[in-house]
Amino acid sequence: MPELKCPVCLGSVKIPDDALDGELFEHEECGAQLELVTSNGSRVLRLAEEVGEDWGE
Amino acid sequence: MEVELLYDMPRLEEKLLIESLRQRNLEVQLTNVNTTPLLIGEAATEVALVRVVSMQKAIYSAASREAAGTTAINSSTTLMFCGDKILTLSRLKAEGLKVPRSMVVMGAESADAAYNQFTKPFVDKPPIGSWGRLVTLVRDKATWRSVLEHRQMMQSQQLRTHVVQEYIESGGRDIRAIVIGGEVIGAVVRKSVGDEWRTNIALGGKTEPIKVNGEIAELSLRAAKIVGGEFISIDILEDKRNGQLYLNEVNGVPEFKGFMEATGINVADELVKHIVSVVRR
Ligand SMILES: [Zn+2]
Repeated sequence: MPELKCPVCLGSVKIPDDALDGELFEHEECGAQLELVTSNGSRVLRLAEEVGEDWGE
Repeated sequence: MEVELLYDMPRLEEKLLIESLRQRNLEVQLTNVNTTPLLIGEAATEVALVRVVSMQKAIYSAASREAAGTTAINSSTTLMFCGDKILTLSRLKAEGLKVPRSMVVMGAESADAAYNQFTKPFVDKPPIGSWGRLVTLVRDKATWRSVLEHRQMMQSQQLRTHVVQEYIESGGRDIRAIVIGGEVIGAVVRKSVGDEWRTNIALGGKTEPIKVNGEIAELSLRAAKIVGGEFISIDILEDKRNGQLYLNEVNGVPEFKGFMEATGINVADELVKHIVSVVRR
């Protein structure tokens, strides 16, 4: 399981091997909602945007 | 055979679908609609499974693939009708299905008239969105005023629009049935927890399996047919005073984690089996 850096608290976040871009993770240590993205070929976590107005089932 | 799965924010549901597709030896093409441009009329697969959480993006994803003759599940028109509660209620009502008495309120000037025409409490919600967000039980004028004020400040026209709806006394529970390809695969009852009156699982609602009786099955299948849904969930309210059933919502990109846990039905695999049969026929 790769470990990525939390952009909020700079702590480490474990990401499953089969994680997909766009997947959301909550960093337990700081409570941040993070989104997995690929930037310049490498995977990073960024702060997830707030719930979109048209999100839902 | 290859199936494209379009997504924006992969949840457990999408992971289960990917797993089921692969287990049934289908090639899976994963497309993140936020990072991949969709050329209208270009599609690499026969079937596109639309699992996009943003309703507007889901409709556009389906439409751009349909332009190439791809079968989108669900289709763009189904997603459009399911994604907007005013469109859903209007279509269902037009076809004679029982829905809660609902009124569209599009300007502050009409708010008082609407208030006076409904028994309190009544339900207020925007036509879009889910997980119980911005859904309010209005008991008095003070609440109504604050709901109006709050929603008036929203950016989008849709969020400034109100669906005012009679409150069906369902004892804090609603029925959710899932329909796949003209068949009801099962149903659960969702119960609200504690003081919360909304039953959404996202708000902590509890789920239990129930038997699909004739009435639930008929209502669900009729609703699915009306919106042209291949894979949808249907929310039904039962008035606890007289047992009458009301169709409340129809979802075009259903979540099924809670349903699956309660019923033990492998929803993802049921859907994949259906997709295989659609392509073969
Ligand atoms: Zn953190």
